[in-house]
Formats: sequence, structure tokens, C-alpha cells
Amino acid sequence: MIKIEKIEFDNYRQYKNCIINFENKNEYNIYILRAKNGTGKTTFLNGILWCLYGNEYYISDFSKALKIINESAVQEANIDDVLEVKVRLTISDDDKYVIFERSQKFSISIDPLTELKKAVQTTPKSILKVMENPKNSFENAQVYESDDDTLSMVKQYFDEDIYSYYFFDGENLKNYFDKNNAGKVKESIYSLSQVNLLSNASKRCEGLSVEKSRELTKKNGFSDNTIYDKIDKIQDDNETLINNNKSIASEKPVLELRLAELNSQLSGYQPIRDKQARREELDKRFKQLKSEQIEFYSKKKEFIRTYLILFNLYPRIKSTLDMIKYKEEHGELPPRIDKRQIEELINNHVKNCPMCDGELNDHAILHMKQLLDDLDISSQASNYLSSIKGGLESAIFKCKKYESERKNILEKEKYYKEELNKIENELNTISKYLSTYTDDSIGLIDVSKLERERTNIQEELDIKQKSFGANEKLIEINNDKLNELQKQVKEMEKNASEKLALQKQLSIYRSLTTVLNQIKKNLMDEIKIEIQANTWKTFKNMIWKKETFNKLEINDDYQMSVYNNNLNDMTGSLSATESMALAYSFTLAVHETSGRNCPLVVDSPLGRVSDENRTNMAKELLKISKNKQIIMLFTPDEYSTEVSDIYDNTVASIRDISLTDDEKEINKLEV
Amino acid sequence: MTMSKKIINEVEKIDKDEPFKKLVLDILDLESKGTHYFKSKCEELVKKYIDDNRVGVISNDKD
Repeated sequence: MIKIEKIEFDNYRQYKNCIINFENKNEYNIYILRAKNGTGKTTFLNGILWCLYGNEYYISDFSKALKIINESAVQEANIDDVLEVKVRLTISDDDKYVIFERSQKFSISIDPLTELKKAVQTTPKSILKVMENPKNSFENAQVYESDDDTLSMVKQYFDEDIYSYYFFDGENLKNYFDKNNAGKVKESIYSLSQVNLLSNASKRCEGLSVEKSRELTKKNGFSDNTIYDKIDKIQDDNETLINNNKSIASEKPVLELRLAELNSQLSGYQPIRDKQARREELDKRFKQLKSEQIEFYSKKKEFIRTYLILFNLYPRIKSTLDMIKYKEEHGELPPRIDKRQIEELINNHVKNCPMCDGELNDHAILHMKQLLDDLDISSQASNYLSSIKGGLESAIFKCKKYESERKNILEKEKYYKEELNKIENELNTISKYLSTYTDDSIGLIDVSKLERERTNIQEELDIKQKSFGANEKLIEINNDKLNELQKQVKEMEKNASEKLALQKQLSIYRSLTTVLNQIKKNLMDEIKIEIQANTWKTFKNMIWKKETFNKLEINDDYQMSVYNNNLNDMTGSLSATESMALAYSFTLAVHETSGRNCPLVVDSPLGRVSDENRTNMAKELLKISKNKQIIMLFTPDEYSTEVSDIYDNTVASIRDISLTDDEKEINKLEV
Repeated sequence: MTMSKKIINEVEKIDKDEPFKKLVLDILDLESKGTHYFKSKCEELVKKYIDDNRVGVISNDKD
């Protein structure tokens, strides 16, 4: 049970200096405060509301209300004094105390119009502080002062959205059954019973499952099932190429051997020996020139590359060199100076300059030191410029040689082409001659046949050689592609294991969302049923009519409907007493279901209730007070005989509130 | 904020194994603390649950 233990007022309206304790003396937790109308019952309620929320909800017209500071305290204070209005509410919750303390400072000055003292707020709003400490120790107190923290603490116990369900005004039920109020009640119930907790957790899990689902979709997009087919194809192609080259490699020696045999046979045949010898000589020359040509092409590439760079940089090279020359000519690049000599002159305190024999006085020494410093900086620049000057000049010189080098290159290229062409032509001529050669000798070699075979073998060898080279190039390209694809496979495999992890997480988040939503729904249903049942039970006990009402229903929006035996909705036709009973019943049911058994403070608890209902309600409230603190504010008329018969000897305390003779403040309370 | 008995009872009633129920309670506890690192902590809890219980990919059809 959460209980109000004490309320302390300082300068709060007519409660100038007042402490009210609510000690527990017996099994019933009803505390009665009696006061005539106008004494301060509603102010008492407003005091609690101001303490918790900074608002006095039961003031009818703020624009015409007095300031909250006690008027006599203002008049008694001196000019420039600072007075404080404070209300402090101490509650107990199991093994701890929670103290809500709100204060507002006022400074005292003179009103120029009335020439009376007036109080002016020193800050635009009041300050709330909440303290929490275990019952057995004040040393471990936790203090909350930030707006967020204090609001959270207030909300935990007395949610402002449904303040009227804790601090009940029996005279003012007109908004109690309002639709807007029902919405707030529902929200508050969900907040107190932690349905909102389930809702938020479920939304978060749903958000996470959407996130995982998106990540998974992205990873799916990266997988390429054709990659393995591509790898297989490239590997097959490479195998074919390698096998082809192996065949070529095995066939070539055979062909080369046969070629050598044919050459030998032809060389051995006297009538054409010269031709064959010439051919062999030309073949050799051809191979040599071909090899030189390959080397030449490499040099040609280098020539092109070198001059491409040089010509690109030429403008900058030229301008840098011109700049260096200019500086040299104008003495801006410092002359070479022997720094060591100058240092020796300084360190050895030489009296006269060895160059001009001038006196080396302090001024001269200072000048030499400055010179050394300057040299230090400029020497670096000087050295650098000098070091690159040579390179720049070489570059310019090389550019000038371009035309002559180019001419050489072109001539060389032409030479190789022409020479090789010449040799090829002569070789073709020899081959043609030999392939049509006839002579009268019988039984000796058939030259033309040998030559034709030779030509075929040579062509075949050339083709195989080219094929071999092309295959090797292709194998290299395929290997590069293979490496790339295998990298992708590794990436995919990594992706696949991440995908599996994501799939598992996604399925768990989805399960969590479903489960949390189900629990939330079950809890909402349970809460509604519980509130409905408890409201109905208490309502039936409170009213005298036992045969009229059939049932009570609460819809999903927490709006109540009471039905008679013909199942007609009678909510709008309830009497004042019945409305009051319904309001009480629902309030108490909300308290019970919220899981937080908070106190109820009621102004005019039975004001609108008459006759037998009064007794019923009083008894029912007494019964309820065994497990719940109820503070009731009666007028003497309201505290009628029926009520006093029930409460006089049972409740925890009965106190009378009265004003002082000057009616400016509440008298000290007596039990 | 401590978890209400009603919620704890409802979690007990769900048709899942004990580790899953504990996961639900841990997540609710995390939410009740209002931490701004809910996401990272929740992911940690779920990954631990998957590793500790060797969870496979569950079909959510019946969910």
C-alpha cells in the first residue's frame, strides 16, 4: 500500500504553517478532515495538486484567484524580504519514503497604487524536488531535481493525466465520464500496468526485424550462382589450352627433326646445294634481324615514352631554368661563401678581417652572425636550385635532340622492314625454284617433292609457334579472371555465413514481436475484464438498488456503460448518487488493476449521496480502506449521523480544520 | 521500474522454451530501463540466445 504519511505547508494560502500527519493506528486507513465551507478543504486538495503538478486544478477562476502566498505572511514581512511558499508531501511505498517538495519564492515590495505590501514571484515557475530514501536510513537518499526525473517520479505514483482519479472531487463529476477523459484513463492504465512497455518493446523488435530483413535482401543481391559455372568454364578452357600447348610442344620436335632431315637431304644434293646453302644463310640472317627488330621496337617504345613526358613537362622545365638563370644573373642566388671560415673568425675572436683587414668589432661580428643565419636558410634553397639546374639543362638539351633521334628511329625501322622483306622475297624465290625443280637424274632425290614437304612443315611449324604463343597469352588472361572470380567466391562464402546468421536473427526478432504483441493483447484484455468486474462488484455494493442493474461494460476505449435488466444502456440516466458510486467504483478498480495501490483523497466524499446509499457507500469505503488509504474532506453537514455512526470509532483519525479569528490562516489541527 | 507480476505471469504462459522466455523478460527489462542503447544491447541478447541454444532458422509461418 502506498500511503501519504505527512503533508507540510509553508505560506501556502491559508495553510500558513501547518503539518498534518497520517499515522496508522488501526486496521482502517480512513483519515477524515472536517471543515466548514470556505475554510480550506478544496485548498487542501489544491495544495497537494500544486505540490505534485504545479497546478491547482480545483480553482474555478485563476484570473480572480488570490496569489498562492499567504497574505498575512506578506503583510508581516519587511520590504525586500524573500518569502517561500512550500508544500511537502511525504509518502511511503513499501520500504522507502518518497518526498515531493515544491517551492516558489516571492520578494516583498510596495504596490505603488495601494501602498500596501505585495509579493512578486522571483522565478517564473516553481521548483519541484523529489527525494527517495529507505525507511531505515536517510543517508542513502536519492534526490531528483531535473524536470525529466521529477516528472517521471510523479508519473510513477500520481499520473497527472488522471489526477482526478487520485484526488477526487465529489462535487465535480461532470467531466468524469467524458470521452476525452476515458482516453486519458486508458493511456494511464496502460502506462501504469506496463502495457506501454510491451508495446514499445514490440515496436523496437519489429523495427529490428525490418532492419535485418533489409540487410538480408542486400546480401541476397550479392550472390551470383553462375559464378561457379564461370569458374568451371575458365578452368576447362585453360585445360584445353594447356593440352593444346602440350601437343604443340610434343609435335614441334618431330616437325623440327623432319625439317632438319629435309634440309640435310637438300643440302646434300649437289645441283641445288648452293641454293640450299643460300637459303640457310638467309634463314639465319632473317632470325637474327627479327630478334634485332624486337629489341628495336622496345627501344622505340622507350623513345616515345621519354619524349612524351619531356614534351609535356617542357614548359615548366624551361620556365624553372629561366628563373634559376635570372636569379644567378641578378645575384639573388647567393655566391658561394665559406661558412666555416666565417665561423672560425667569430669563434677565434679574430681582430681583423683577413680579406680587407678591416676591424672586426662587435657590429661586424653581429653582422657576420646574421649573415650565417641568412646563409643557412638561403643555402638550402641555393643548393637545391643548383642541384636541379643540371638536370633541367639536360632535359632541354635532350629535347633539342628529338628530331635527330626521331630520324634515326624511322630510318632503323625502315631498314629492318626492307631487309626482312628482301630476305623473305629471296627465300620465296628459292623455295619456288626448288619446288618446281626437275632434272634428268633418276633414282636420286625428288627435289620438288622434298621442297614442298619442307614448305608445308615450315608453315605448320610457324602456325604452331604462333598458336603456342597465343595460347600462353590466353592462359595468362584466364588465370587473372580465375583469381578475380575466386576472390568473389570467398566474398560470397563469407556473405553466406553472414546471411545465415542474419536469417536466424530475423526469425528470432519476428518471434519476439509476435510474442510481445500477444502478451500485450492478453494483458489488455485481462486488465479490462478485471476493471470491469471490480467496478461492477463495488458499484453493486455501494448502491441500494439490487434489482435494477443487470451488468456493466467497459469498451476498448474505457468508456463505461451500465445496463438495466432489459439490457438498455442507463449510463446517462443514473442519479447523482449512482453516478458517484460508479465514479468511486471505477476509480478504485483502476487503482487496483494498475498494480499500484495509491491513496485516494476525496473532497465531499458523500456530498451528493443520500439516505441508504450514504450508509452503503460509507461502509463500502470503510471496507476498502483496510487495504487502501482514503483521506476524506467533509463539511460538518456531510458528516451526518449515518456517517459518524460508521466512522467515529473505526477510522484512523478525525480532525477539524478551522480558521484563526482573523480568518487569515488555518489553526493548528487537533485530533 | 520493476516488471509487474501480471507481465511475468503472461511470459510464463507463452508456448516457448525457458531460454526464450528469459530472452523476452531480459528485453522487457531493457525497455523498462529506457536506455538509449537498447538496440545494441538487444542485439547482444539475441545473438547470445542464438549461440547458447544453437538456434537454426525458424519458420515463422505459425507465428
